[in-house]
Amino acid sequence: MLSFEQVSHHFGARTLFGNLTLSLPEPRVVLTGANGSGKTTLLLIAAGILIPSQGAVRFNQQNVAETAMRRTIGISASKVNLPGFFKVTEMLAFHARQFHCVPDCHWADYPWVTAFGLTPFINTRVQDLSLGNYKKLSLILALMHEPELLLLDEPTNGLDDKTRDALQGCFAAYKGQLVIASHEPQVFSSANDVRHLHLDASGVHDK
Amino acid sequence: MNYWQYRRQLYQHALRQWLESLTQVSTGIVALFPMALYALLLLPLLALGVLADKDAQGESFFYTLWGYLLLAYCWIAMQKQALAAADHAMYDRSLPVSGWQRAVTELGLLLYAANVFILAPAAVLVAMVYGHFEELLRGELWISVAQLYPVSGLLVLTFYYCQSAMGSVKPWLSLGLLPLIAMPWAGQMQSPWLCLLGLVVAVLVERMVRLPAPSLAALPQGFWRLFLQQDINHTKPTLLRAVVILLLLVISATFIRQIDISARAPAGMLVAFVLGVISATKLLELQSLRRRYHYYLNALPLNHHNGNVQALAYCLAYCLPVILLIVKFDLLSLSQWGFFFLSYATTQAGILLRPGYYLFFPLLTGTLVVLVSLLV
Repeated sequence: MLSFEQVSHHFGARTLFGNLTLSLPEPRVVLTGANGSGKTTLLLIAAGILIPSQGAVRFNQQNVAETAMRRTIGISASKVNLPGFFKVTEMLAFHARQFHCVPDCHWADYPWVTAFGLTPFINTRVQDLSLGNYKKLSLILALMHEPELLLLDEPTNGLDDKTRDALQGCFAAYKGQLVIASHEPQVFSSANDVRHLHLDASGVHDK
Repeated sequence: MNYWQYRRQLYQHALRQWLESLTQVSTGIVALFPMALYALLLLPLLALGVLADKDAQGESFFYTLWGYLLLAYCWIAMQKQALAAADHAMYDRSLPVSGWQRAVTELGLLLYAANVFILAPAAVLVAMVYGHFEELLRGELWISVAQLYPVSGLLVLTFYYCQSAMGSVKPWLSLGLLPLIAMPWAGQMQSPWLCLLGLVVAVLVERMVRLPAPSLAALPQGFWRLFLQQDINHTKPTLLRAVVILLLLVISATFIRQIDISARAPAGMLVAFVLGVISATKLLELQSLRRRYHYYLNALPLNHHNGNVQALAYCLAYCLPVILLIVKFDLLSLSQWGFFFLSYATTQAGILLRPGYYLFFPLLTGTLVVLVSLLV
């Protein structure tokens, strides 16, 4: 269960969240809100890679800022800038090594790579990938170590229909908690227990 | 690829990108000093001759030490983002790497980046300790300390400034104001002890008294704001320009003071020419910025001519501290000041009229001035 305990965050004089206390026991959460309302920032804080100005975020009672929690959490967000000089295969290999999840197969045959149609671009440099392919790579990296908490920022942006279908299959089969920030509230087409949250200037509200 | 190799690769990649952008942005400096860039690497090694000598004159020790530390600080400050992998900070933080592994990797990268600045005095210190080993064994500790303190102090200070360049404390006093304030009394400093002590005190003061952050609200609006924000957000070219000008001023001041009086006038003309050209090349940065956002800037209700006038005025304002420094150093005579402004103006005219061949303009003017002065 993901929980926010009196989390506040400021960018200069601007306050994005003030004293946010929230428990999210639901396995699927959709976060909506206008551009600039702080959806991505909230995901970065939930991933433990952006430390809030105040408060703490816990996942299963563990503070997400702890290094040990990195293996439990997967995040894909445009602000999580990937090293552009790596080739896709090098990026995957590096990431797999860090998370101790090197597969037995060649990267071109890696299930997520084939499912997302990234195989033809396996030797392309990350900086040369199109927006959609960059997103696919970012999603694969988030999924690779089978995290218990998956945080995705606009996961369907720039994706073709085939990849969207594959992603929906992934969402349906995923056993952990999944939090998605999106402008598409129907992103979980087949799930039942979905919590919808809306973020605006006055805070986070149930929709 | 392990974490160390990954961070080293990130660092080298960022460094390559930086060097490419530097060549574009600071063409003026790089084009003027293709040979000096190699000499710059040798400078620390040459400086060690003075800095490791306990009998060095206080003044030469102080200014050599200042130049050395300023170079080391700026060298690391310019690489700060590359060393901290700032472009990929979010991804890096998402990796399951322990705190100590990260700290050790960052220390290794810092030593790797600072290489000659730290390793050279470290090697000299090891060699000197080896040379004084017998004295140390005999218990003549004071003799060894007296021999080793200048280079030990240098090593400690260099490491401190390299480390501090990665943080937020700016050496505004120890590497900024102190050398300028101390200039009139520099000749009276008898020993390296005093110089090291002065620097340490200045370091302690600047760690306690922080400079207030500039308020963005107080900055001018309009086109100047665009230029200012660019300079505030991309400090590397400004830092490089400041280092080159400061070093040039100090080296020139020492050089002109020590050469024969008959050679001072032509030396002053050369200094005026180089300073004028380097100061004027700030316009290259502004033109590059205007090219980068030309669609947006073209959509603004401001014509091209007006944009040029704004850029020229900003350049002049930007160069005011340099002009004040030259006045403070009392380096140029009236005719040399005239030559400085002539070089400045012709360089900027070249940048506006023929950006690819802008150096031709001040070089031609300089040659004409020399010819006329010879004939007259």
